[in-house]
Amino acid sequence: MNKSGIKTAPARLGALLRKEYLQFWRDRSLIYIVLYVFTLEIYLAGNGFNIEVRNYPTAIFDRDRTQWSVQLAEKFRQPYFRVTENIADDAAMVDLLNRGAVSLAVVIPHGFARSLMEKNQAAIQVVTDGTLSNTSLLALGYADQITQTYALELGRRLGRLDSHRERPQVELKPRVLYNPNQKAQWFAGLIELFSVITLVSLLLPAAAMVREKEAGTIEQLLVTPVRPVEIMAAKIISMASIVLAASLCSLFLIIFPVFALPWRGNLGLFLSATALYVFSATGVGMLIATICRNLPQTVLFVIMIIGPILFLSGSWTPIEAMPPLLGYLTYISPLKHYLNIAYSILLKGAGLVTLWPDFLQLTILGFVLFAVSAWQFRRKFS
Amino acid sequence: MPLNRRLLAVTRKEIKEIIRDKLYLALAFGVPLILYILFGFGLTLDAQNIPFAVIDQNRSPLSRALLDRLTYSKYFILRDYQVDSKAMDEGLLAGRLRLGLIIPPNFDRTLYSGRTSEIQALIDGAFPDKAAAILSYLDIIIREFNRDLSPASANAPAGGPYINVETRAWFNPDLESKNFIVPGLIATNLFFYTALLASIAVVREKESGSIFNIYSSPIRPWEYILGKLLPYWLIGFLNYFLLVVLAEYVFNIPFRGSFIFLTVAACLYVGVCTSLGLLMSVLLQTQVGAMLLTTVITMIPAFIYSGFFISVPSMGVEAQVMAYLLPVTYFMEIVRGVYLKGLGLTEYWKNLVVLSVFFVVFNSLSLARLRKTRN
Repeated sequence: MNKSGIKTAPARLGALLRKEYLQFWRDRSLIYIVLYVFTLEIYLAGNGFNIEVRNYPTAIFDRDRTQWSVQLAEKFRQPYFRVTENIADDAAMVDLLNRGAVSLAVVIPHGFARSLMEKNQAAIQVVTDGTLSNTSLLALGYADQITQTYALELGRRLGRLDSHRERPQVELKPRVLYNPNQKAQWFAGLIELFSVITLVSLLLPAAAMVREKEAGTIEQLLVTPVRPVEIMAAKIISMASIVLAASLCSLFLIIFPVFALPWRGNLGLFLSATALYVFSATGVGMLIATICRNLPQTVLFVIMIIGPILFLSGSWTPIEAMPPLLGYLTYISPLKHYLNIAYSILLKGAGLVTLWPDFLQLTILGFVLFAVSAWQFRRKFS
Repeated sequence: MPLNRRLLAVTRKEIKEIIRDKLYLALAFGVPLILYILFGFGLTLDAQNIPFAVIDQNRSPLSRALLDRLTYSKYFILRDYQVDSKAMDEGLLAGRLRLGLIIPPNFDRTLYSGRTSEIQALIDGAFPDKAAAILSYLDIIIREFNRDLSPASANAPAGGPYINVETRAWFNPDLESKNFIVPGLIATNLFFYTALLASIAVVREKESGSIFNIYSSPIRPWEYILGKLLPYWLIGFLNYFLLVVLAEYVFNIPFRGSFIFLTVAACLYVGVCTSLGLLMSVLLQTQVGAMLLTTVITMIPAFIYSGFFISVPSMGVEAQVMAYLLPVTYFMEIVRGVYLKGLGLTEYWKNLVVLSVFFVVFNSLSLARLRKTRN
């Protein structure tokens, strides 16, 4: 190599960067995996994830068999419910719920219509498989709503509702913002993208670094004129640029065209937030690389800290619903700030005016993480 | 079959390698434990303390009464009172608020004259499941408010017919989410973690080149595969006991079925997970590739498609196909069925058959691939 060429810092960094890109390019299977996680994986996760109550498998046990009971049973239909079975005895109900073939059973007792006719009042039983408690709770709510609507309709038909119009009533006019049709793909696809960004930015640079340690090539690099910080910077810059490019692929190949997310925000702002986030995550990755001696250790370590990072970001459990201590801990999860920024930009079209507090916190967090890992890196290798 | 010495030699060497690496060993048992405790305590999908703002243009005792119902429930927390609509929009945009309520100026007058008054609710739809929850909580609160507005209709529905819906939740009567999350985590954690641990077994020797010693030795491929399988199978199985003990003594999850049946099923299941990891190890050429691929094909699908959050029959067709291609789905049914429903072999023998098929298929693929590269 040309001696005068490597005397300047940019030239040294350039040479190191070239080496990193070359090494990444050589491992073809790794390239395919990265492409897979940023495209197909996001597609799969976006399409599969759904925790709303839709097509809830339902069985009807109509003991009354009158016109009214049949009418009520017919109200249990899509989108909320999908009646898969009409059953005739208790044993069948127990069996279906046990096997999980249905998650809800509606029992209309004998004498339902007569009681409504004579006493203006009747009862039905709704039994749910409480195993998945959150969806059960929503399903019970919908079942109640459907039944009350039917009662109202029946009253109107029978002409028993004259006094009803005079009753004072509050009516809710809800408007769901940003995702009015409640497409789960937008939510799940983006969450998956952010999780993948986190995983890859933690793992790739850490793996690249640990491989040098294992192979002993890090010592060879250290006896050349390059400085330890430059080695670290080259790893971070190269891997961060790869993650950024892959994120763009995922946005323009999957999320915008396939999931039909409308274009609302400022792409430049999103990219700078992503760059900031990726840098802080790669910083953490380098820190892990200074602790671990081989690749298996590194991966397990990454899994150990990615759990809390994902969890504390509020992507699954709303932060408001966490115990207070965990709620405070969320402030040290860089993903929490990034998630809010990226979500607000892409989904809500928010700008820097709204998001600067999160930007500021993400920047501070990123610098602290970066400084700690740089310090640890120098301590280990200087 | 007598004790196979070549097979045991492979196992012994692998165990030595694992035990020598203290940090790896600690992480092998520590990581699933940490994730389990974190998710078991913290993972709740129940929306609570939803921050909301209100613009009360009425400022009457009646509008105050409605607001009190929201703030006294555990679901909502009043963040901003009487903001202007621009600040409300900003709060929703920044994610500081999830709900904005607007009560019209003539709210109480309209109601006192026996008519219908509309209130507006702006809901942050960024998280669809939370938006759905907010809507249904609001709906319940307002329905109760309406009922109390006209006491005549409270219990004796003078107007129209009234149908009372008696609800019951089987298997988990208090609808506690930890009762389904903790047993579910046993299935998901064992799945991705056991596979991940095993995914280095063969590829490590490929990277270091010592695989060629194996190729040139008299050991048969099936002995090599099984020998590599056993140590990770054992680690996964020990992890299973750790998770079950914690479910009992830390999380106090009701256990209604047979422990012996669950343990037998878990033993088979952990074997399947190990085989999957080993297959990745045989297929790929670098440790980082094998571990990354194993993580992405197991971790996220385990939570999304296995029925962890939502039962498989209520998924879409595509998602159901994915679900039944994953071993974790079959064990998820078993573990929740044993814990919460008290079911056993009679109901789940088919799941055991399917898991055995997975075991045979994964290992046959590994064997075929190993034979091919060796020759």
